[in-house]
Amino acid sequence: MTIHTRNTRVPVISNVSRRRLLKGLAASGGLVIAAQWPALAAPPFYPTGAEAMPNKTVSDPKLFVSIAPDGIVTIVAARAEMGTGAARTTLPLIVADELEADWSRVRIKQSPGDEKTYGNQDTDGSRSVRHFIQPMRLCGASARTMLEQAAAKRWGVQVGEVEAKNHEIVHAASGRKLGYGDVAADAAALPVPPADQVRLKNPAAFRYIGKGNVPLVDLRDITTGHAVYGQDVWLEGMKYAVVARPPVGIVVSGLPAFATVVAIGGVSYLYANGVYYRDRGDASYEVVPSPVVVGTGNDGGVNRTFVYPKLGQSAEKQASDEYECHRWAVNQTGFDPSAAAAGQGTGPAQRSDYARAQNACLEGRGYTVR
Amino acid sequence: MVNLSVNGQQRSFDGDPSMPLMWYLRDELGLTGTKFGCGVALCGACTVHLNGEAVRACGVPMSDLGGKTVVTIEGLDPKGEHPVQVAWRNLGVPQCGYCQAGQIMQAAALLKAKPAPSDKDIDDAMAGNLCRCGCYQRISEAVRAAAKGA
Repeated sequence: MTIHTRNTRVPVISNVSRRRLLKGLAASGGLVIAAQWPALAAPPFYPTGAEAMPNKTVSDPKLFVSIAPDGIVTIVAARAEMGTGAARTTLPLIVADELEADWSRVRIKQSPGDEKTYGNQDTDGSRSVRHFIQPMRLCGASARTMLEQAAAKRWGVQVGEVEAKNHEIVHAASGRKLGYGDVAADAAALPVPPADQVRLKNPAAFRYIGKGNVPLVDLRDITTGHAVYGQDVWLEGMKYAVVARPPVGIVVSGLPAFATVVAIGGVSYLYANGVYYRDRGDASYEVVPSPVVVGTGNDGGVNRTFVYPKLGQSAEKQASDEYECHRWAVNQTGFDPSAAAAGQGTGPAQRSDYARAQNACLEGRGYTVR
Repeated sequence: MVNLSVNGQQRSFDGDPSMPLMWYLRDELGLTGTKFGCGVALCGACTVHLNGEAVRACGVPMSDLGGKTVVTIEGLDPKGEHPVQVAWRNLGVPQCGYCQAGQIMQAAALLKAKPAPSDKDIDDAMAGNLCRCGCYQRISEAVRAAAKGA
């Protein structure tokens, strides 16, 4: 395997020659007619953040694209489908567009989890397309270039005279055509061209990107109950786990290192993983009911405050005033009861300061506070 | 021993009679098209047909199923071409698809009971099937389309 790293803004192109994903891979040995289109060459990637992700991106067409002798193109979906269609429909569609493949003759194959091979597979943050549109375009365009090179070689013409068009390579001058399946084996034997010798499509020539109206590849399976979700997978020896919360009253002899001391309503607790403990003073801890009651008041529910709209303010106005006074009181005192509930250590004096500040603010806005 | 029919096949069950139908379908028969959503009959993801009516499979114990007929999404139509399934595909209803088997089974039961439902009938029938992707407009549209045979 050879790795060519062009620069930090171009993905790693790994020509994994031992992978025989393109069907009928044969020993080459023939003349490789390199394409030369400097003016239209794939530009260096604009930065997307993908370069900072573990294992970055990969665009090797020998990894992502295989073409059977009957012309069926299989594109690997390397990211996990999270439900938007980005992983199993959009990214393969981008490859297919640059490849000039007929989408109706494209099949999708899910890759295993293997970031060393496929690049980053951390499918989150609404960034699959943002991070992978460039590598997948380059991938499809590289495969298209290899098909064009293979066809040109077979016809004995310059590669610049042939063009891939909707699942066929066309030699306009002579009217000759070859289907993708006809040249797949020859193309697979060629080296992956360097990125600067690959033409990306002019966006005006896009067949699918930005055109809409492409159904999800899993649409039929979804409507017939055959789409496979994580929950539907069964593996030999698979174990099931649930999160167990300790019942109130249980005494434990130790707490996790990240347990935090919190003071709520003048009482000190230890808090970890959503559970409150009382320190029994003998290196043991008792699970106690949560002292935080959500939604019964603006101080976390320990000392409920009643706010009356003295001037007849509407409920919306009151909610807005209460929030603004909460923000003001937080700024004045540095104490945020919502943060305290989430486990930040605080003392009762700070809580009292916060309550007085909020009351002052609300009274200034025409509310009675008790 | 509980004898029941699932997707046209006769089945016998002699396990825990309190086990919900959903787990029998998913774990014992491998019919995973019926999804586990909430487990307490609040979301509709596990909707199947019991003697032709839409029920939440997570809330039906096996002991209630003697002599009954169960149809799941896999058995709704032998070729997956029930008018509701076709309408779902024509309109590209699903996004992630997790709730859609339940949605389709609910809609199919509605159209069997009311072949020409009003918009209110559709809203009422579908109100208990939640979709976190928010495909509700397309769901209603697809039910209307299926009713018209479109």
